[in-house]
Amino acid sequence: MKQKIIDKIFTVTVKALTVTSVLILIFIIIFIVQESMVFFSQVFPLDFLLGRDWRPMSQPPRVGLLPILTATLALSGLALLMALPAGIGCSLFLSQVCPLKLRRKIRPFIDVLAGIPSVVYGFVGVVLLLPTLERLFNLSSGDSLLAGGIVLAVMILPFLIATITESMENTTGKHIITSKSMGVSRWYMIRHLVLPASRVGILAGAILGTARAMGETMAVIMVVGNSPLMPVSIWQRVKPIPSLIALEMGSAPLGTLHYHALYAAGLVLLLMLLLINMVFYYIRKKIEG
Amino acid sequence: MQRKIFIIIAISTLFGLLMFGGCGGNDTGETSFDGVLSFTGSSTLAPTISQIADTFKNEYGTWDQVDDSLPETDIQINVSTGGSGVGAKGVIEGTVHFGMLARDARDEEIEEIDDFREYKLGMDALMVAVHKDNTLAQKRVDLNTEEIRSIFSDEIKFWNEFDPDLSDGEVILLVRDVGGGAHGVFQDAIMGDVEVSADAIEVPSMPGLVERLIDNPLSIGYASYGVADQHREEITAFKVDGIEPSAENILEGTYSIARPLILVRSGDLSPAEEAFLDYIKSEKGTEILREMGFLPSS
Repeated sequence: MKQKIIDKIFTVTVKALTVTSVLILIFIIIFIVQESMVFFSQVFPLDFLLGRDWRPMSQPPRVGLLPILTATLALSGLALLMALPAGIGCSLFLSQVCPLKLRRKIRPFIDVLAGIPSVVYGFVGVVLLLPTLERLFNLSSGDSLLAGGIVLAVMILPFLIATITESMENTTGKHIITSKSMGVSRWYMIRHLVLPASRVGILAGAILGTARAMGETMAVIMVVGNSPLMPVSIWQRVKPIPSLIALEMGSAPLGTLHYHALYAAGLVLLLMLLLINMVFYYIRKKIEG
Repeated sequence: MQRKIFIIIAISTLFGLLMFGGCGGNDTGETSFDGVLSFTGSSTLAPTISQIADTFKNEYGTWDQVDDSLPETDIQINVSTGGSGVGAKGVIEGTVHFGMLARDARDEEIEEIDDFREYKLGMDALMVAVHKDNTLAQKRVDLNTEEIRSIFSDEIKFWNEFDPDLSDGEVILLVRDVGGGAHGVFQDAIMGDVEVSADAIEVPSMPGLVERLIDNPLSIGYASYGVADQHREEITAFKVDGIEPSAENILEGTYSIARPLILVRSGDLSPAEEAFLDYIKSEKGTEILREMGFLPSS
């Protein structure tokens, strides 16, 4: 009897906590949508998304998100482009080549990479990366899409490695005995069994990494220059959405067009991440089903 | 059945939350004093206020040590930042006692704060500065408003477009965010209706901006008097329209690129608030303001 009551209390508590967390998520979304609706009642959504000028303080204010939106996409794309090959290579090494003993020693270091505060990445970026880029490529200033991409690539690498290694370890476990008894070489197995079977893992890592890269704020703010320009080259200074919100939210007077435009930018970022996740689930279903 | 009830409860909770979100925010918080004073706003002023608060706390400990009429509770002074706009917002919403502003209060803010009060603490001036090795620093000591405007606008992209004798490097502009207090002062004093070039690098903090200035001989930016003064050896600040950015000129108001540092609140001061405000204006308070690189008004 007593046990039953304790069980009941436990069940109710757990349910309540679950509902609370879901409610908080819903509440955040409702709040952002509500604040952006004020903006979209004044500015047509397409004008917002395709406007090429971000001058919220000018008269009249111009709030075009296009350079900022494309910068966000270009930045996370570039980061992924640099991090994915390295991540797959690292995972192959860890799961196929590396002896178990060494693997146990390396893994914690990679995990620590994920735990470094982003402001530290930004700091290293400012002090080390920017002057290096300036020297190497003879730039007037190192702040650029490339600098942001490099910092982000390093930041998402541990996520990629963790996800991909796990899925590779799983597939290796399934195939190793068969492969060995069939006498195929290790590289044949990697090429024809492990890599194709880890597609979902690689995809999952890529999605996780992109999502993280898109939302990253502090490290990026310190190295991209924050000029609202179209990302036409990797030397270009850019201003992605999180930097925009972090830099301007503090000084945007309550209730102004500028203030609501920042919420609208936040909504766009949120929708992009939702969309990416949906595409991810769709693709995974296709591959698995 | 159970599931239905569950959903109904979830939805009603949500509506409940939304309705609570809608009201409130008009609390003045004057009913009883719990020993806490809160400040929010300008990131320029925040470190100064929290340092003054620390010395105040160390000196007195509890409020009754400050004044007999105050309760015997520990002194607690909370300082948070978010920019001048957030400071005014906090006072409008009634979430803080004082808003810290590094600019004059805007008309609409004065309108929205009931029984608006402001207390001037000092001035923060911006210096137009370059790296000491910048070719412009070796050639000129004085710039006029139009020249500064042309450099910071889209008009000039390379230093030798300003003067053929200067380096052929790109002009690297260092600015703060467009909505911020510092940029506002610069925009009003120098730029007017002209926009600062979109190429400008936006740096998230003033010390960060000066650090960039010291790192890059091609850069030019506006640095606050305090931070620039700490790096006199490494950067060169220009006279503006012939007026030296000196303490006297800034306080007198003859130097054009300057902003006031003020505290705003709504309604009369409580005894505890008055005691702390007096402390800020005392010798110890102004000493800290000076140490932080500002110019105290008294």
